Amino acid sequence: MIKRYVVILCFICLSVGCAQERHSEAVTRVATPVNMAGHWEIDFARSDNLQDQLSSIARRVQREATRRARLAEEGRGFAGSPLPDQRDLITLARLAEIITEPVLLEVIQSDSRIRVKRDKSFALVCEYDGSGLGVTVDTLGIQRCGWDGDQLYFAIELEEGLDVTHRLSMAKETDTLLMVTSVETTATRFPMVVSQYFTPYDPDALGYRCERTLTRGKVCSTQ
Amino acid sequence: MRLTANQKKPYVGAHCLVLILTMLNLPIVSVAIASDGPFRSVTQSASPWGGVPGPFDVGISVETRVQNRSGTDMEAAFRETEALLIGNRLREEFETAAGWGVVRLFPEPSVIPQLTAYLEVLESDGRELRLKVTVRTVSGELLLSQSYRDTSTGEDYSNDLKDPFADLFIAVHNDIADALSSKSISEPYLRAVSSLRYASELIPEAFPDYLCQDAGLFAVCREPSDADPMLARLSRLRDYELLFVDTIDEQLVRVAEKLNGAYHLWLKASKEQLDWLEFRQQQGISRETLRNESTFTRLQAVYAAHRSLKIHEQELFELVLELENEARATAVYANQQVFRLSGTLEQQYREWRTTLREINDLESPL
Repeated sequence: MIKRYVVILCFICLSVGCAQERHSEAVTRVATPVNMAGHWEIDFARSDNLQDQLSSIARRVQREATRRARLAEEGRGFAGSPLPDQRDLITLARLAEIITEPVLLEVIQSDSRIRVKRDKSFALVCEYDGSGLGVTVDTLGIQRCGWDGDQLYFAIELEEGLDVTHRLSMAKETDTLLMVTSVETTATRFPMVVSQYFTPYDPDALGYRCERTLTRGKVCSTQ
Repeated sequence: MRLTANQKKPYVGAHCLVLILTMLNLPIVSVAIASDGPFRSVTQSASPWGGVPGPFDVGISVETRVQNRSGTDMEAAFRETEALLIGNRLREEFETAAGWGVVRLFPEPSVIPQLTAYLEVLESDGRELRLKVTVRTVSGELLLSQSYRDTSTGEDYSNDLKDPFADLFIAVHNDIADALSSKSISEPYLRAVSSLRYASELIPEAFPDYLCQDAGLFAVCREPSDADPMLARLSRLRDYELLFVDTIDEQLVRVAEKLNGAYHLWLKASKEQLDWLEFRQQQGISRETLRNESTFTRLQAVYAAHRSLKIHEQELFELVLELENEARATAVYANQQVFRLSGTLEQQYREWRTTLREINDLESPL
């Protein structure tokens, strides 16, 4: 897969510059929580393909590079942030692949807390009291979360300039949960954005259910 | 009859043993304590001290002062439960030593046991455990006021079942035993003080002139007759209170059993993350170095470390919430009735003490 990334990106104009400030996204709408509780599985047919996303971001970078080159030819300097190079974008894509790996979600929701449990990863947990974004700090980063209108928003700032945001929203007309994940590093001003669609599923349909925990390992029980 | 502090059983045997062993240059307390500012750092592996001053009943109460870094209710619930686990851990040390009286965990400091160890958990992150320990006799005498710090090593986590901070609990236990041994305190005398203090708390009018108080210290001025019916009733109420404490204790033991594995894994994961962060800081990672070939490796390591810590933390927090919900209600059978209590442990304890007063009012001939 990496070789394919390299082929796509080989013509991108490279630019190297100073470090940039971290991405921040404003949450401005009044919280209007919606019910997202339930079990969800990914709909691969409708979800983004990482390869396509990488191609898209590569084209954006290329267009921006061309625009800057034209400005330079016209004698008009450009003081924008540096463009990501090939290696930066491959790094971004590989990180996005890891971060968007979970294909099953279990959403547990109450009036003050929502937990988005993801297979093969940690749960996105948000406690809210209606007073704005909840901020949690741990040894490796900061998480901000809350309801932005009817969308559930998570922004995770990690060490070494890795920023990850998740936005979850429900489609009104269809029973679909959309999770949009954005991955950004200080080396790139072009976030990798991946949209994943989830549809409800019944975990009991198989007649048994398995749960994996650290202390008990994989435990399956019949219904 | 008037009891005085002079009527105490001196523990001559224990003192002689200490003296002889000291003269023979044999180590009695094998925990090395290093002075580290206001803290005493436990720096060596320790083995339990064999000497116990006597069959004193010990009450342990714990509060957490650990900063809730995430600011979430889940972490707050976890820290409360962790405090109980730490109190339980010290209790185990007393029980291992053998020779003490009954050692109980009390939701709040109580006047029932002859000794009360009040623990404040100042820090607990897997790498370091810091506790402030204050021990008093029921007569108010301060035996120990000391802060302790123990730092774990990688070896401490090599065995899944080993407590990485065992040294600290042994040190605390040994210091309490030492402090008590250095005083000439009579266990029966403290029992009498305890009885009167309990009476004055629950029914202040019961024995108004029997207990003297001076500068925070309590002493027995008069002792009620053994045949006093009020004393018998108080004794029964005290047994009911202990029944509640023991019922809660049973719950706590189950909680500790269920949580132990997840808690140990979390301690280990937390220490690993802290060590890793410290290592990176020592290496002097700068933004320039991020733009080399290992950028992906570094960023992936950051995400993997965050994911690992969160997974461990969340399993533990979820377990705590689950157990907390289970332990919200307690049923106590006493006085030929079943009493159902709900709320936090502290709330249940206060509710139970109110119930005891009501039982007394109903039975009182006054």
